[in-house]
Amino acid sequence: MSPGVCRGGTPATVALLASAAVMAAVPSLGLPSALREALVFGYGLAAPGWSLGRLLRIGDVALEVTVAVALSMTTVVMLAFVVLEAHRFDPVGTYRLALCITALGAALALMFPGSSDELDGEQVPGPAAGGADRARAPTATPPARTPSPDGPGAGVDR
Amino acid sequence: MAVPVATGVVGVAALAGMRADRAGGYGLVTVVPALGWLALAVLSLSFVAVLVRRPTASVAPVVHLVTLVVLLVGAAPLGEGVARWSISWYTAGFVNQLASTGSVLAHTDARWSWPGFFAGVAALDGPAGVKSATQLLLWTPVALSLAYLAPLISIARSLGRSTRVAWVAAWVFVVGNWTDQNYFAPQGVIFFLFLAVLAVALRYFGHRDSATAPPLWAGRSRWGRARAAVGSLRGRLQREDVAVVATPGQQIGAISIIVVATVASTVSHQLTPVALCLDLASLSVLGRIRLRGLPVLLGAMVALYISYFATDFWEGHLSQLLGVSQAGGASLAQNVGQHIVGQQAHKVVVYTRLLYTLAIWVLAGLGLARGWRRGRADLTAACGFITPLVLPIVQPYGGEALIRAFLYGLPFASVLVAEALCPAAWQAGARAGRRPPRWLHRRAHTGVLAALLVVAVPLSIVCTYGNESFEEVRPGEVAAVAWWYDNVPIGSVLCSVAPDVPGPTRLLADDPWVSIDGPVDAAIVTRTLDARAGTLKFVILTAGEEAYGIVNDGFRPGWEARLQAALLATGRYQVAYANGQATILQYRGPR
Repeated sequence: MSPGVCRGGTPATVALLASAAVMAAVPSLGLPSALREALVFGYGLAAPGWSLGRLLRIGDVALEVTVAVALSMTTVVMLAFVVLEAHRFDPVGTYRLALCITALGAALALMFPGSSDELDGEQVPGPAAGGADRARAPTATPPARTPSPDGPGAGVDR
Repeated sequence: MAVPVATGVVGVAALAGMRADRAGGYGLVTVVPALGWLALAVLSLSFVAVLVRRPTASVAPVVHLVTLVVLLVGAAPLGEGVARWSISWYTAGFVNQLASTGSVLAHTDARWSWPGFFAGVAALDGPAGVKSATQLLLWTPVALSLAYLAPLISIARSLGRSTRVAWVAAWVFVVGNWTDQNYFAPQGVIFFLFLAVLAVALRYFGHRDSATAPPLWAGRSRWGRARAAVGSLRGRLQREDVAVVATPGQQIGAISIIVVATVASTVSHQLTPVALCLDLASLSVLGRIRLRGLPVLLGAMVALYISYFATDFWEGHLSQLLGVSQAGGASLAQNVGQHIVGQQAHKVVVYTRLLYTLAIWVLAGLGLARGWRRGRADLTAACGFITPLVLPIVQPYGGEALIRAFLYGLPFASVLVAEALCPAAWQAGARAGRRPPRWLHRRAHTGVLAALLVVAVPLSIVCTYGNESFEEVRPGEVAAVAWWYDNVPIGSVLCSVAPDVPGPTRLLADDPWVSIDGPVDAAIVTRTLDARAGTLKFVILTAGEEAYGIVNDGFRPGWEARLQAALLATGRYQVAYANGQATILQYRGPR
């Protein structure tokens, strides 16, 4: 496990764990169909990947969103593909497996909370890495890391 | 912030009132209301103004980009109210079939060899209570286009671009992506994974291109100039250090993401993982990413999957796959020549698409040249932009390979176009101590950028929605198909007179649909139905088929009404269902 802190810290991790439990009940809650569709698709295409991706301590928001959605899609597609190839296709079972993976990622984040001084996303500025939008001049050594992913030094162009 | 929100509200209201059914041969561009144009123009100007005034802003550019996607990609859902592209309805049929039976229909259609996407959607349909995947079609293009933004920004940043250039690159991608591959289908979803894998690979394992090279001809003597040129070339091709300092755990995590996302792509779509492996391999060969062995491993995995799981595809396309040496000319003919047919307006739309594509490539070339002038070779972006163009040379892909190659290269081309268009002061790596451009020069550059972004919007609408007369699916067509499914016994046959009917959306196992593509008359329809076994047999005639025949096959307007009259005149057909946009005739069999 890499050192670092997950975005949102423990509250976000606990919220992810709790949401997985709530979402397990959504199909049987008798919600209005539009709300149920939005909840299941929205959650299924964001939460599993967000839960797992947070373990990487990605500092850049754009990449964190990318990884969250990509890993969620991948999780759902691969689980569904495996149960399909095993001739045991079961949508509700697949959905529950995806929720388990979400909970597992959150549990791992709770077990390995990391320290608050490390976030990935630090760019090593080369001789010309400092962009015109950069808040400070490029240096030859890695900049001091900051817990804020969007703070100074977090990206090449900050 | 108020401007993009206001333009969004005005634009949505204007586009929702658009009479898309009146779109002529040039598509939606002829029916977009004036307020819609105004909203899009103001949005483009506001976007540039925000970048000029607030260089470090991040929320405002995102709001502008989201509004642009909603107005540009959402124009059709807003104006039409029914999901466009009949093929997306057919894709929903694959999902419905899998959801209802829990298995694929092996040996019926090559697409079943890549069931990952269908299975994934079907797996969420059940818990979400979705009765039919057709419910998901309407807003899928908007959702996918919004999802593309995050990896695009990440890629642009990993290529060493400033925030402002990255925003412009994302904007260029949205207005430049006329390929319409974001509808409900495997390629649209898997394209997101394509972007995500490249974003992760470039972020964690990418080398940025150096921008420190001295001028090409710096020396005084001939020998000195030659030495300077060699040094300059070496400097331009030099790599900087990797984009991110990552721990071993993070690197393992990043590699895992790349591998599993590529596996998910491989089981879902035939072409995207090939393009992805080509991109990763070329970046690796040129030393732009550190993953030397991974592209080989991923390529072997893709080849293994196609060899083992996609035998239906092999059997159906063996001659094409083995005909690589002849594919160059044939591919060009299929990818360009076969599209320039039909009605004059359609040809104009196709030529506009070609010129628009060419313009993007030329601007990308200018971006490369601009980077070169500033001492950077930009090999990473060039590699991502050019490598996919290999695809149409080796495989025509049913005449669509060039479109796909353009799409796969567009994320990188967009970055290069942004490099070409943005003022020097916005560029990352602007040389310290270099005299800034004069005020007038800077303003002129910004003005040109704003003007180009405004002009790109109508061009994008012509290119994207130019075929709307037949790509649009009308409510009456959907109602007719629903009536057919609800009222005819299982095992019946439905014949369409052009490949442009929304479906089949269920019961694919019974193979109930047959389509005629090309010249059609009453005798051909009757022969087609006589050749099929079925409980009952029907012919469907729709406004979309009429438009398809006129635009693509050059049929005279009213051809379908004449066909219907001819069919009824034989005395072997009777009207079973009709609304203003579709008619279903029942075939009563041979006399």
